[in-house]
Amino acid sequence: MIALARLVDWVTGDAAEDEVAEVEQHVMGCDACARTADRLMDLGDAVAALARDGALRHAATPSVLARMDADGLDVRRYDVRPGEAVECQATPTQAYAITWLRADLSGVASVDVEVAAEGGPVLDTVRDVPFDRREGAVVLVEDGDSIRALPRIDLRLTMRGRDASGEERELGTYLLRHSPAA
Amino acid sequence: MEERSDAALARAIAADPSCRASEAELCRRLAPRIRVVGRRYVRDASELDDLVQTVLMTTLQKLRDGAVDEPARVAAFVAGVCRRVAAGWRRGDRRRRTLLDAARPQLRELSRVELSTAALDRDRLAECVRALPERQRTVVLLTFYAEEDGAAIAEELGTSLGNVRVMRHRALASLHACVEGRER
Repeated sequence: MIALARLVDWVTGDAAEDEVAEVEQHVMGCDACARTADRLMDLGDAVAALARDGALRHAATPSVLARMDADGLDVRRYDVRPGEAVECQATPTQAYAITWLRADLSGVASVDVEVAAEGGPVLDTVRDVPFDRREGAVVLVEDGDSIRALPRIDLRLTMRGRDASGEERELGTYLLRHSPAA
Repeated sequence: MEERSDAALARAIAADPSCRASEAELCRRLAPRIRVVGRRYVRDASELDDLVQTVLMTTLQKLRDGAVDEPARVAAFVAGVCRRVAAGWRRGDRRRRTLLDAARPQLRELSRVELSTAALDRDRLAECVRALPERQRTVVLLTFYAEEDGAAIAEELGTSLGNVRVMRHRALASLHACVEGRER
């Protein structure tokens, strides 16, 4: 059985030319490896389908946002600066809400985002969120079904950054005032 | 009775080109593997069927003609044929597809054999993706949804290619285990 890492590199197109030939030779003689490779490709296709269907929450990067645009997904966009509040809701057909949380990310090595009910408990902490230093933003993508399931609620998001030495600082807090669609 | 190896079947075809039983058995084994390797190059389902048939026909013809130097290394030979045919098709070369006109119905049936795997549970997969660490989830989306290669992902995330490959490998190993019900 070939190492899973080699199959992953082959499936994702990141294997070197000679490695491609070796893996393909092996897969051609090994049912177990062919089955695993087939499954990996199924997983990739299924993840892409979930993303297109508005079924995943995630932090987005420019390439993912470009793909969402190209796919013509029904999205609402929010752009929030530290200390600002924004009214938000999801329409019945909306696939995603995309929220740009702006902050000064200079010198920041990693970012966490804490989500809490305003004046209430912490509901979730998203750790090590990818961020766009050039744009000065973390881009959070929430799926429509999750938003539609929310009651009227004010959500306080707190972004914290750590520098290379591990020292932490607050980068901003943001208030999302959610109300269910009429 | 002990099952003959792929190499033994290839040698039997080379020794007796009229041995249809060996041909059928070799095709039954190779077709699903060719389909998997071919998926990497061809996305369209009917084109993939054509690719599998073309590779099987080319392989059988070469074995019958004694043109495969080492029948014992039949897997390597077939992998090479598959890569060359797929590369030729990508360049727009469809000449070899005329071979398909001569494909026997039995071979067409065999070429559609797939490996047996359970269908993916969409809801289960969505849960598994949500359970990934944020960066791994991003790498998976960049790979399969945005269709970026490792170098582009590394640049976008401000990290090294090696790190992207590690994250992607971990993410896919987790997803694979998770959808099969073997949490990691």
